Amino acid sequence: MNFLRRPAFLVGLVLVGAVAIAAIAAGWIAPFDPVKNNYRYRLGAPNDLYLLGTDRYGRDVLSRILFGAGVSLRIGLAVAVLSGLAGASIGLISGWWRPADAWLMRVMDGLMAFPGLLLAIALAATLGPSEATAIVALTVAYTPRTARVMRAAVLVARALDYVEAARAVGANTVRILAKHILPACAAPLAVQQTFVFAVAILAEAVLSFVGVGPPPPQPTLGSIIADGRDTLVEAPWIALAPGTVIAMLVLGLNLLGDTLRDALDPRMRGMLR
Amino acid sequence: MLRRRSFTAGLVTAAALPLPAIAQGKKGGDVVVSQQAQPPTLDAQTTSAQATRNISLHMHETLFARDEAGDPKPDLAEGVDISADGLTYKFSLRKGVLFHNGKVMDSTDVKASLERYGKIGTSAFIMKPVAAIETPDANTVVVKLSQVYPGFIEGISSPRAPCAIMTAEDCAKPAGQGGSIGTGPFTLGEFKADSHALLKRFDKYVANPNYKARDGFAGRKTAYFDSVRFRFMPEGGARTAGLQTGELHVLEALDVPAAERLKSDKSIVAYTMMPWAFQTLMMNTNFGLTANVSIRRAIQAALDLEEIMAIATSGLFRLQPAWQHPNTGYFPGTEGLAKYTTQNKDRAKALLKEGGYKGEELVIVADNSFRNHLDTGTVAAEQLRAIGMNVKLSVMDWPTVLNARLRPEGWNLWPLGMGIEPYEGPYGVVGFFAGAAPVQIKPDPVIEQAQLQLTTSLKLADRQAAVKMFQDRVYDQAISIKCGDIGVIQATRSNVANYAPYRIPRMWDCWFA
Amino acid sequence: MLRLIAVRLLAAVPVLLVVSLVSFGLTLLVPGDMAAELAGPSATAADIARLRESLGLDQPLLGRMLAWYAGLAQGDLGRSVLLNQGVGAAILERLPVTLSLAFLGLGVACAIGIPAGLIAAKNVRRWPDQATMGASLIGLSLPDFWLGLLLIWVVGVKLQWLPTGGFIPLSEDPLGWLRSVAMPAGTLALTQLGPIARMTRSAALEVASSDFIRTARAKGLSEIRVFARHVLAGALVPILTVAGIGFGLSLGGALVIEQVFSLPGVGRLVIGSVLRRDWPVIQGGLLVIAFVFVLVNLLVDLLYLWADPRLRAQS
Repeated sequence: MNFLRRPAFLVGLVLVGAVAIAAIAAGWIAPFDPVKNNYRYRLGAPNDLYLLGTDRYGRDVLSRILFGAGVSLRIGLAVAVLSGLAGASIGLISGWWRPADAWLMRVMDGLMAFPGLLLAIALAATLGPSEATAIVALTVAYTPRTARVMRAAVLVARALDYVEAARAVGANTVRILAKHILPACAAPLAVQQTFVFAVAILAEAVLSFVGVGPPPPQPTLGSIIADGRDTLVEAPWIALAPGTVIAMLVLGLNLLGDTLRDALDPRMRGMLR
Repeated sequence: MLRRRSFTAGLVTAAALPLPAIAQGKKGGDVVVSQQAQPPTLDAQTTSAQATRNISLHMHETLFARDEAGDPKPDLAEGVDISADGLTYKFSLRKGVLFHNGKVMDSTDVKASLERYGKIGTSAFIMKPVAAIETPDANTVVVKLSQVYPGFIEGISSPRAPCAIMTAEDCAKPAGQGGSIGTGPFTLGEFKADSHALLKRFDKYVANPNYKARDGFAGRKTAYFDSVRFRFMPEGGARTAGLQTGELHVLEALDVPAAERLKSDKSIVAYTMMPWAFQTLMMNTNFGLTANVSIRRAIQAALDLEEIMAIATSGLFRLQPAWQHPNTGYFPGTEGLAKYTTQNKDRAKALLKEGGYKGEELVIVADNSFRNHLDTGTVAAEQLRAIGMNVKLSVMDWPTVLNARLRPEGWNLWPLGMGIEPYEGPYGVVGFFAGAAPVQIKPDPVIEQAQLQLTTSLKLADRQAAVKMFQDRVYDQAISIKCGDIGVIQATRSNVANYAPYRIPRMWDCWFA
Repeated sequence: MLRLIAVRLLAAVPVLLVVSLVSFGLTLLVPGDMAAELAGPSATAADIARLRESLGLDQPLLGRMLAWYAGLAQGDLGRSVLLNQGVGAAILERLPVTLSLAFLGLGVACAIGIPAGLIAAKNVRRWPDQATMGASLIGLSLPDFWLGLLLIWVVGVKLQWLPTGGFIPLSEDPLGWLRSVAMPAGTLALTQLGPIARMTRSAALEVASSDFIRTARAKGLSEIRVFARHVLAGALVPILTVAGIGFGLSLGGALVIEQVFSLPGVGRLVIGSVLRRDWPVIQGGLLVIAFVFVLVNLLVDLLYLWADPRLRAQS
């Protein structure tokens, strides 16, 4: 486990960890209620009281970012886990049970044939904006990629000598899957889902920006940017800070994903970007 | 008692015109106007969207049109004679008016246009009392009503969903597909959705000789610009930047913070219009909590209207409780309204208790397509939570919200900005709460009576009293909340000469200096 | 070759069918209809009801959908009332905008990203490698719409160098076209640079570690010649793949960037149509986007064949 000591991994860990801890602790450390309006301090520049200024409702931008980061992390994590479960199941079936392969992969191709984001926007607009909707929409959009990775991993794993051997002696399928295939696929799946986590955070920001994310007044990093876009010149602090936090989070996750991938078995590495 | 009204042009020219006679304008130039939304259609008759009106009223004209003060004046008509019983309207048409395709406008076009409006026009209710439309000759149209309807001229002159006069041929087209040919000072060049609409000056335009200059949507209109390009730009920042760089010449609305920042910029002129619209919070008196008048009154008492308005308008507002604009003919006054519009949290809590409130959910549906709607809903939700209500704020896109609010159940509050209806006068405002499908869902007997009196009484005083009756009822029963008046800032580059702000950015009678 | 194209196009049919069924599902679920958009914000219940009737929106959806599919079978994508235009024509009109953006953004990203990736591979684990990889990782972590907003603010408003929105067709005014797409394409390029540089680097590294390169080195060829002649040639196929994947990403990115820069492209058309409930356009738009994706993937595969003689022999 020498990758744990690589600087890239540490930087990633610090970036993600710092944002995650701040987001979890938001309830205690946020200076203000993130949805409390104060119309006398609309569009206030950063000062001692409001460290990152206020938005057009007079709400504290720092407090909104702290809470918003939590929402973004929650959605990102949920999408990573759910699309991981769904993608792993589909990939496993597809890679192991060949008759289903053609059908499942055609459906996955269909879902992949338009940009994931566009699909998610259409879905979120359809289902009505909420946190759950964003999670469902993004999970649908990113499951096909995970399924492809999982299928490839299963194909590699089933060709391994000891798996071939186990099959040759007529071992129980469930047993082979549980004991040999799944452990072999776990690592590439974990790496892929780290990237999905990162992409989902970016995508959630776009959903909120377009207006189909979790509804106001709940803050999300994307919706804070959207709130600030009309006053970009008059009050740039509203849009600047949340974008920076998104970049920190995504950069951190990408660094983690990169180092994890580099530590992987080279045979499995090829299927990941 | 005025039994016989005449809107002939002669009477009008006697009145003071808002502008001196001017003819020193300079022809030429391509002006670029920017607006936020893209028009859902250019078929003027079939939509009440501001985005369409901005463009279509450069191409289309109506028999009567509103003047600078909002009163009806003849436009394509020379005038009208209304019979003593109020049932027959005899319009004489202006002669020799040309459509953009070169055809001379005659009574068959007018008849077809009015009939189309009655079928698919957005304010089709104005045509409901019409029993027959006759065309005794090419320049005369006689409209016979089955019942007295004093709001008829107000209706057909309204720019809300203009009763545009189109060619008889164009009138055969279904909703949303007609309207590319009109009689106005500009013709349609091209329309590219999500990008722009390009209008070109109609050089054979027949201006109204009965006036000296523009007057609201009526008057003698002169087009100076070679072309007008309306660009649809959703991003406020990009619109402001475009005005600053001179890429755009006219903005339908300049954001308030940007206007403050650009105050000292000599190359930009800002025109503030107050009042522009009502900000309202409609209630569903048919469903759940808001079916209970005590709860509605609690909501009325709980709201801090100043906070709502300050946030929803970025500070450009005034707290004006009347359901008509001051200084207009039907203004019912504001006496006795202060007790309804002053925030009183204790009273609100007491009223909640009186209404037997036990933490049931209050549903606010708000759309995120219009910022003032979203902000009003968001701020109201916080204020109602502050008195201990369990509020669910449901923010969705516009079609979903409209779909939800048209249902008799499932929603309690719905924020709406009403711009053109109060400008029109009392008919659109009172009518919104009356009839078979009123906005508050459950018809109210007193409002129905007010509506009847407003739409059928020939006496102005009776109609004014009806508006007062409506207003008192809305406040007393807390049927809807009027939060205040919204203002708007139109802006131009300083080289756009002789511009005067109005309901739309009018690109006639102004030019590049 | 022709057989391959035919087979691949046939294989695309079920994919497109899935796409169309998904968008059909969306239409079934979505509440509200386009009468809301058409009538305007303060329309009354009666206004809406009358419009719905005159537009035929009160007819059962299934019947209208079947009619649409019947039209599709004859190559007709239907008609949009709100655009007052055929869906096919509306999409064709928008494609140049989206494609301009995607190609220009991808072109710039490749022009910088591929050399950067090669330099990184050549200097693996030394500072040029770490610097390029660090920079590209940051690039791909930035939210593209946010970057676009910042560019509007700095380049458009503060410096006033470029227009802040709107599109000028190439055929109308080439310089104006370039100015109108420079900022959005630049935004795209900045976010696409990262993936392209990274993928190029790993492709080049893989080739560099392969047997024939080792043989070349063993023959005593100079490092530069090995790199230029063999690594580059060997990496061509993976780089083409990179470009293909990059095009997909670019196209996806363009759909969002259009929104920020008010460009009349396919993305804004489809997203706008979702919000307006203009379902023939949603159906047609998604279908066309999917078809473009399929075509691009096919093109990449053909380039593959052209670049790799071994594969050519197989097919």
